[in-house]
Amino acid sequence: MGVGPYTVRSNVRRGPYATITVEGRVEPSKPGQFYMVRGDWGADPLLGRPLSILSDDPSQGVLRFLLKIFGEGSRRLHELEPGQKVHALGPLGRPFPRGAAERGGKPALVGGGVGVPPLVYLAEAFAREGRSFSFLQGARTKDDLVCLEELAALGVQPEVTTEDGSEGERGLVTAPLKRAIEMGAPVVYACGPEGMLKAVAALCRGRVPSYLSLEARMACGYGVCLGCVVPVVRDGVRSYERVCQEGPVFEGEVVEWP
Amino acid sequence: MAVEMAVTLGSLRLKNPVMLASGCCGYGLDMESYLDLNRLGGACLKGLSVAGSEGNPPPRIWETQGGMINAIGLQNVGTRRFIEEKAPRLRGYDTAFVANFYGHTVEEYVEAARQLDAEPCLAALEMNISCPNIQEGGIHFGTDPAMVHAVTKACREVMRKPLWVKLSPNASDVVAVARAAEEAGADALTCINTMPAMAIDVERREFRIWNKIGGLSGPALRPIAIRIVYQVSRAVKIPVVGIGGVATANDAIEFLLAGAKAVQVGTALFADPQCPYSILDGIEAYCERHGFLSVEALIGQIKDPGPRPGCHE
Ligand SMILES: Cc1cc2nc3c(=O)[nH]c(=O)nc-3n(C[C@H](O)[C@H](O)[C@H](O)COP(=O)(O)OP(=O)(O)OC[C@H]3O[C@@H](n4cnc5c(N)ncnc54)[C@H](O)[C@@H]3O)c2cc1C
Ligand SMILES: Cc1cc2nc3c(=O)[nH]c(=O)nc-3n(C[C@H](O)[C@H](O)[C@H](O)COP(=O)(O)O)c2cc1C
Ligand code: FES
Repeated sequence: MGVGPYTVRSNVRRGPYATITVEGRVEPSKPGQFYMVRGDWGADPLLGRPLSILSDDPSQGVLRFLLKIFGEGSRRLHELEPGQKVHALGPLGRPFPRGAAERGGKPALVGGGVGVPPLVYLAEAFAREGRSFSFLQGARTKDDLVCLEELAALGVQPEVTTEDGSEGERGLVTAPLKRAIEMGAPVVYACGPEGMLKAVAALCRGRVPSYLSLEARMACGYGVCLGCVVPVVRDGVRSYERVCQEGPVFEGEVVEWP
Repeated sequence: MAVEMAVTLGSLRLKNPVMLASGCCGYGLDMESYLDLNRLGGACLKGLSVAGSEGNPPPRIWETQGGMINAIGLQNVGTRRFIEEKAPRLRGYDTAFVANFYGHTVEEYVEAARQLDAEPCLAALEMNISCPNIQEGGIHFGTDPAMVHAVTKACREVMRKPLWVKLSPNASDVVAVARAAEEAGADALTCINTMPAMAIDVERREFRIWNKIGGLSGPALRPIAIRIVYQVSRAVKIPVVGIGGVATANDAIEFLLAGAKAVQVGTALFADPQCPYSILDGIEAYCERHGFLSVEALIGQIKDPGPRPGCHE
């Protein structure tokens, strides 16, 4: 388990987004896992921020994240300069289960906003294995589409929807997802805003297994604080499970939405 | 010069003064990938009750300046499942595991104490009389010296292991509560639990936490904890364990100088699960630098100028 420290190699900003590459001792990871990341800034902000792995290379000791500014912590991470120290704890959490993708047909990868990076990582793994899949990205507007260069580098043509029609198909990502399911997608992997995940779960329910990567406020990221729980229902029994430990990826069928 | 790091709290010897705080290290096992528990003085495990608790709905945590507010709702597996499923895996360690426990009534406290007292992997029990998270529980006991006396005495009577009582900063006279616990037979006092706190999302006009009120922890709590450790350690004869915002060796030393015999590290573990190592190294280096042959020699060694008019000790 890596506990840092890492050094920022590059930080490429585009508006509120930043693609941050750090170097250090990197443990092997799987798509869907994340790190708790903080700058070397003392006690304020106090806690790490969970960031999904966009890509990594343990042999080169590099790790990449895509970040969007939300509040103080992400703003400070956005400002990091090459050479600065960061603390990153990970890889954490359970990755996207791959079993259902073995059944043939094209798995559908559905991402929105800062939910896109873990799916880019998953796409990279599928591409490396020569497996075909479809990649759907939904955004409010063109400027919120992310990781387009990374996807292009993998030879992936994402199907894009924007709510304002400024790029791709106008509307929500559930429209192309519905088509993908009708075309026989054996499994759906999704990460994005809660509204999107909820709609994806509803669409998949009873038709196709879905694996959703959820967000929750986290203090530790490694299972000890019990701060990050979500309600789930398994075999009719409701309980709280930790997004950082039992998740962040959950079967769409078990998640109880607020 | 080798510094003697061990400290004794009554009948219990800790190999060094740095422990993990309850609620911040799970049942100990969860820390294994980050920390060699055998290098620590001990670990206080997540608070247990006889019935267990599923905890509060989310959101349970909110970060504040230099701290965080939590209302986990004391989620725990219950004493029986702890003893059956978790405790056997703690038996191989050479460190002091302390079970933290709570109840909603004196009877529940007593039953939890009785069950946990029989578990061989535990070095002591720490009674949480102060967790502000459960509406009907903790806080009422911890603010009232008479209640604290009653619950401490009742638990003490059914136990053989050392009983630590963990005080709340929310008592109007924390020294009176400390004295009540001592008189009722407590073997040590842990100071302090979290401070009741609240945060509001002004844009949405909503509470940040489902429970509305949670407990403030982290560096922001430390000055309050230092003051209480100072006051309490001078008022009682039993050992005091300091807790609240310890993240660095200097923080820990501040507690030791104020009168704590050991410290517990909580919230700081979240940002850096390995911080106990640097705290230990730093304490040792400090002792060497200042000519203390042992940590014990350092305890309470603040240069105290005596009474001050505005300082009610
Ligand atoms: C498993 C996981 C993976 C994530 N991956 C990415 C990613 O790859 N890129 C990215 O930009 N963002 C990602 N996020 C969201 C990111 O962690 C939050 O945007 C960030 O923590 C916000 O912190 P802040 O200080 O800027 O915001 P503030 O609102 O000021 O944060 C206050 C507190 O709330 C927490 N918090 C607030 N919003 C969120 C949220 N949506 N999710 C989790 N914690 C939150 C913060 O960690 C902090 O403790 C991920 C979240 C999770 C749970
Ligand atoms: C997430 C969380 C859970 C906690 N759970 C418990 C608990 O179960 N029992 C208890 O006595 N104290 C509990 N505490 C309080 C801590 O043990 C400690 O007293 C407090 O956090 C102050 O120390 P710190 O600033 O080092 O965290 C909890 C604290 C946090 C942050
Ligand atoms: S963030 Fe601490 S348990 Fe999940």
